[in-house]
Amino acid sequence: MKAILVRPRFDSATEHTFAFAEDILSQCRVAGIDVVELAEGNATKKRVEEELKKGTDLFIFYDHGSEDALIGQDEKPVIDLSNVAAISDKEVYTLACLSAKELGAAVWRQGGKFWGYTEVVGFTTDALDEFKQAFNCGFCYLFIDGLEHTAALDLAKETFDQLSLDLMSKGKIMAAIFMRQNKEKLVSYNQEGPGPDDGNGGGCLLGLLRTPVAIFRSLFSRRQ
Amino acid sequence: MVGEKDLIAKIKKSLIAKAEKDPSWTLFLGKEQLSASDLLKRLDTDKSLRKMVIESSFALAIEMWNNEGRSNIEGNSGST
Repeated sequence: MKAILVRPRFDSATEHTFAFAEDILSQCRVAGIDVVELAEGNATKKRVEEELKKGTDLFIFYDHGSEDALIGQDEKPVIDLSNVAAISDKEVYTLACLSAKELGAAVWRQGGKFWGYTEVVGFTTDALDEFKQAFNCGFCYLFIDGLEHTAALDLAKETFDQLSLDLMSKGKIMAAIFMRQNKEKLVSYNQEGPGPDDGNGGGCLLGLLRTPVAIFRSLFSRRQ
Repeated sequence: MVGEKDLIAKIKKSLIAKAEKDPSWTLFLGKEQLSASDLLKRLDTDKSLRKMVIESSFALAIEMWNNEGRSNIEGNSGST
């Protein structure tokens, strides 16, 4: 299996998530996954598109996102609705705010699989090990243990639950609250299980109609 | 009975203690970076954050209660 891991580092939040992704890199190497790392200055749209053209099975992205984009080192999208086709036939694993909402839905509508979050992700500095475990566990369940997406998502949510209860018992209340909140917003869009909850029941027809509209809107918003 | 105001008061108290014990404590919320004192202020002004914190706290309390119950049942079932 071939993978691309993109991990920018340009603010305090990305300092931490950059470190979280280090474990993903190690897991890839131990599991024999041929991983290309695009870190910091290489985490740009140009470099990402160059590497994607060479072919990969798995696209991993760690840190800032928006509803329709994954944000690179230059604080501009490395992937958005204008180039989403480059990852839409792949497994996509992200730790990025909001991006499951539109970008993940677009990947799914074009036949891909997307692991990510539909809302803003939160974590606290008194529980960095626990948050790292939570954010990375899905990767382990999917690509190391080889579970199906639905089973991996169920297990990941159980892990988030257990971690939040452990944090509560340690008196780390805000960490527990955000661990639970992250769990609620974690989704795995795949072709076997349910798709995005966008009111069309995950059906493809309305999704196909919506994708060009979303792309147009994205282009228009960038011109403003 | 503990109401929402009491719960928020407890959470604020724990945040104040957190700020005193670990001044570098930070909540990363997307691109935002909040210290304990920033979060204390946000809990007063940001209704959706306040609502989420209250709902999550009650949900966690229920989960802890359920978990405790399960642990007791499992513990008892092995003792015969």
